[in-house]
Amino acid sequence: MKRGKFLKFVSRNGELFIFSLPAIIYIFIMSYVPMFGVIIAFKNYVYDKGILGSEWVGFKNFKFLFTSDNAFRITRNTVLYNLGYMFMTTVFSLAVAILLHEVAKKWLKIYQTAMILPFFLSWVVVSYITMAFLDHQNGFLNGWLEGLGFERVQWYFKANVWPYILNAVHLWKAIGFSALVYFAGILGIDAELYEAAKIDGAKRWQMITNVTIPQLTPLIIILLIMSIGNMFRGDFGLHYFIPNNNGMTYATTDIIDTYIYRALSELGDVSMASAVGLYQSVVGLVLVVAANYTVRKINEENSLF
Amino acid sequence: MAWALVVCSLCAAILGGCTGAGGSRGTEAGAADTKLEPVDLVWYYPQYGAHPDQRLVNDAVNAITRTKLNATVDLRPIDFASYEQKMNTIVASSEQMDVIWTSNWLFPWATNAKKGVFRPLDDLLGNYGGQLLASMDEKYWNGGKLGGRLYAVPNYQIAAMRPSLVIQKRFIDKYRLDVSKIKRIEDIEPFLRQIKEGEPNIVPFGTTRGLYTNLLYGIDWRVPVYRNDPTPTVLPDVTAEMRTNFALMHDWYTKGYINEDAATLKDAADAYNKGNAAVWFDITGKPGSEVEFKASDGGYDVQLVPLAGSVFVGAGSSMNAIGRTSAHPERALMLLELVSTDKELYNLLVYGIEGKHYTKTTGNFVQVHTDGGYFTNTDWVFGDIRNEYLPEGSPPDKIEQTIRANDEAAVSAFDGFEFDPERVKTEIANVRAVNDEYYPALATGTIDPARFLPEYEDKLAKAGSGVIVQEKQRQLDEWLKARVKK
Repeated sequence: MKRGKFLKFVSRNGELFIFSLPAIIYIFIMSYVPMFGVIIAFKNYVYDKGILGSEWVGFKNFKFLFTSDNAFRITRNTVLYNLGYMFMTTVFSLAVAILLHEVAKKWLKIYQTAMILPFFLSWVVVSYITMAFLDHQNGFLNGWLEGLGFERVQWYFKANVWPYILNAVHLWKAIGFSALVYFAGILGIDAELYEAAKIDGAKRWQMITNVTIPQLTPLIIILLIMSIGNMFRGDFGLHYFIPNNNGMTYATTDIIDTYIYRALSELGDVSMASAVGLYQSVVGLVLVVAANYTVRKINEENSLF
Repeated sequence: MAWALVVCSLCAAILGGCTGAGGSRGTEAGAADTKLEPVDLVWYYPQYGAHPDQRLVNDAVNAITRTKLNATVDLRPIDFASYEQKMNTIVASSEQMDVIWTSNWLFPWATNAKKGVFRPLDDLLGNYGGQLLASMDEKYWNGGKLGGRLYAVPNYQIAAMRPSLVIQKRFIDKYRLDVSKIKRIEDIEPFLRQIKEGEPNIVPFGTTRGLYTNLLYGIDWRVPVYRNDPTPTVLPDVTAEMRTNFALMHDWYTKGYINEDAATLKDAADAYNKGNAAVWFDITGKPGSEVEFKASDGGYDVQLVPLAGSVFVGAGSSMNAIGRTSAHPERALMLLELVSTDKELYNLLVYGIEGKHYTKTTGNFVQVHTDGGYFTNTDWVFGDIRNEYLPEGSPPDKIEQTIRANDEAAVSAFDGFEFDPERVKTEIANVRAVNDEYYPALATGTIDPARFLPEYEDKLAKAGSGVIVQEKQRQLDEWLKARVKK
């Protein structure tokens, strides 16, 4: 884009630019300015020598993550959980958004409020809620199980139940917000499309599959591409607080972020921590570009950029 | 991590508020008769929780420091559980830190000294801290020395460890336990069985990390080497003694002697603070800790039963260092000297304001109002405990006992050796992650060592624990050679 063209582009979209200005400034300050700090990942950072004065060490700081025996396990967990969360959240919140649109006119506000409430809770608070359910001695779940004549289960000691628990907890927390996004998307669909479908004799189900979902596809794809970028970045709060950071469930709950935290919190080594951060970001960038490329190959209109 | 960022900005906001308040008070008084310029110092240290009357005590502290040093101190206590984490963040932000509490077990001083967090103190101490320097022998000062330079001022307190069982008196009396017969861990088992059978709501042995420690098995505390080994050989992470210990713990666990949630508890105090554990383990076993335990176990009297002779472990367990970002390091050092020599100031920090948070009783004893709004229960964080009033219930000769224990404790043959982790950082990070996964569950007997110990060892080996052992051995050999030359 030439300079003159760019200015014209700006002046034509003046209001929109002003709207996006806070976000642009935020991203510039919080993401672009600190980017200079990535050089720490290649240095042995010592406080009194400062960022520029510390000694260069090449890729040494990256070594610990890749030589770790757990590298495979934590990468697998991170990727699989994120795929699971992406799938579950998309499918369920889409379903809920459609249901809200189709049936729930009367109690709409109440449903929305009830569902979005968990979104605002911190993971620490949620971890106490889940503990109330899962506690070995006093938890609701074990109380019910015992009442029904089953044996008590030591949830926090059993690794194999955690994929289900974590997926359920994540869904509970995330569904309200993402259903809201899809609901807003549905409200934006041209009413004439539904009217036309009705005249053609479409049933409700047919309207959903032939009007609502195709109209929402670009939105769904944009949200998916963005979450693919975070594929290597797990939800630290969820995986640290909900299983109570306990060794016996690491096999199925440990993700890159929690592992790094455990391994490095005692060493307090800034360089090694930023090496991992850089690695996660680079992989994220590659994944976003690749996903977008794929989408563009299939249908150019649906791609993000 | 977005999360770290939040913590960071939160701290900044809170701390920013504090500085503002402290600063304005600093100028209005100006009643100093000393010729020193007025300065504001910042002191970070850990506490068991927030004190409602922190502000009041801080003001009272400033009243003293203003007259004696023409300085104000901004006391910034941080929860023990998050001390290390928060300090790492604060240090990374290069904020003003004049005095920083550090130790060999929390916010480790040697690692941080190497990262340039602290200032070397040798000159400062010589010039401004004569009294402080004279108050302790060489062997205490060694606790804060690295490569011949001093980085932290030890707080005189128990510098000896005497791993002990802590047993509730009410059960000793009820079951007529003869504590003089308990010499080894195994000796307590019959008592645990009695408790299990006779006290349905009591946990016989409360624990969070089991009771394995090298000190119980004649292994030196500084380097894992048998004390009587003529050719000092560094032992692997899993020793033969550890195997038997874990097997015993698993036996206890399956018999129901150990709290079921042991492996998932985080804080050592979680094992006994509900008051429902009959016996627990304390690695320090210091004189006078009966009172500290009573204050946190629901008010039950306890008795300490030592399981091993006491070992001098150096004064590194609680120290105060001066930060690189301190604008007035000499004043910070003068503050440390004042805390360690001024009885009034020291006891104010430990017990709060007289009449409000504690009352003097007979002699050196005080009655501490545990719910009075300022109850630290941590005399050892601030300074020299030889200055302290004794809380009601502690032995009248607690201080003498402490001094005697320190003087009599066996000093390690490797005193002065400090392992430098720089070359094996990668391995240490990975070994630590493995330990977090397996150690709590194995040491508390929650999982069967027959099955999981080999798995643990295998993972340790893969994480590089052997490399660390070799590096330790190499440094130890070098150190031994250098010592012979001297």
